[in-house]
Amino acid sequence: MLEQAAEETPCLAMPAPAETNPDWAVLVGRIQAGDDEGMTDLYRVFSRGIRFYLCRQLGTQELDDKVHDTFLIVVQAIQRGELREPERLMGFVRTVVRRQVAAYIDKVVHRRREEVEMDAVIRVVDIGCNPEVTAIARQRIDLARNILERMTPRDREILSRFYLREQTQEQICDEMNLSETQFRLLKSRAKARFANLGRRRLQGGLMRSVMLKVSRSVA
Amino acid sequence: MHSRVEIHPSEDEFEQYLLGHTTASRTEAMEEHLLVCESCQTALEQAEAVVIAMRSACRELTQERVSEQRRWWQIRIPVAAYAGSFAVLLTFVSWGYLNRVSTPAPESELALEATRSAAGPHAPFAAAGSTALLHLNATSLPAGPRYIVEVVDLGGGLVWSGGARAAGNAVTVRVGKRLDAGRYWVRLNGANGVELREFELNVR
Repeated sequence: MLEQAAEETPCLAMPAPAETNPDWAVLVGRIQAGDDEGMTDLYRVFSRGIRFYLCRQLGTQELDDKVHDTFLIVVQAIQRGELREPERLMGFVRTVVRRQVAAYIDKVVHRRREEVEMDAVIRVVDIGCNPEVTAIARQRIDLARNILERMTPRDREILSRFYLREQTQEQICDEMNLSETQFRLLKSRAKARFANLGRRRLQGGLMRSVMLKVSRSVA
Repeated sequence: MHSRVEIHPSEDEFEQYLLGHTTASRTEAMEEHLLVCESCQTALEQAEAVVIAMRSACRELTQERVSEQRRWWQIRIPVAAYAGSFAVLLTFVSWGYLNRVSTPAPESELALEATRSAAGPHAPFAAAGSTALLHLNATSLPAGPRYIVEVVDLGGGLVWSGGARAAGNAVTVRVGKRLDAGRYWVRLNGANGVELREFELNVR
């Protein structure tokens, strides 16, 4: 993709977990026994995923604090014996994270109601897009437009139903008299063109950057 | 019983998830997997970038097509007729604006049913510029003391959010934000943030 060479994602700026498939029951047992290493391992396994989820739902504002609070809730619940099925640790963490998201949204909604008029716009998530992110997003949209404009009106209608009107594949195939294979093929071709165009533009951008550096060094 | 994600979700599955087409159990399984799998977190972000770009591009092209169809000024009309028409139009617009400022649109009251199909000409709609009192069908949903309702635009941007309570088989909520004309999604979430049902809201 166009941005892969240079994009930094604040939501994923965490070290990789050491284990990819730990035994949850053993990990829970270690935490319940007060093993500090157990808590470290729990943090290493889940902190990135919790950060990822919270960032997507709530933005980057006070993200570290929210991750820390969520992790504390998980650890304290495990130590109190609230996790009855240790093998369901992932599901438990997910439930805690979703409750945290709902609680944060609730708090912001109530605070905004006290501070502003009722019919003012309430934006719960402040994504905080910087100009670079905005420019990258615009480039992607232009790529997508380029691809869509070269399609037939029917193919454009099909993709518009899927991405814009969020109709299901089954509904689109039924209403547009398409087979599932035809639909999948159309979508995968469009996405492949999107990726190819993005790569070509990235290579072009990198080449221009290299040439610029060369010409400056010669000068 | 939970639907286990034994292997990493495919690109198509991530798209289904992002567009809200996965079942509740599938969503649960994917989100649990995403908590611990970095590669899938990256893949989800990449899929989301494509979905957002395609959606925005489709929206822009659709709006441009609609604008082109409305270029009435291309019709040849004598200059005097243009001037006269403009004067009449200006009078109406001014009167309409003054009237709008002094008398905002009355509240719209609607009963919404969960459906994914495009709204037909007889589907209920709210008046643009009005607040809306919505009765959301909550039949068969888990009962709860409180719900969270979110109104989002087609781009997924949050327009309004608030709490609501159940009344019989419906959850009633007053959307205090005066909505512009367009198409919105009303999401009914439990108090724990889990999405229970989604409704289409048209504003004209």
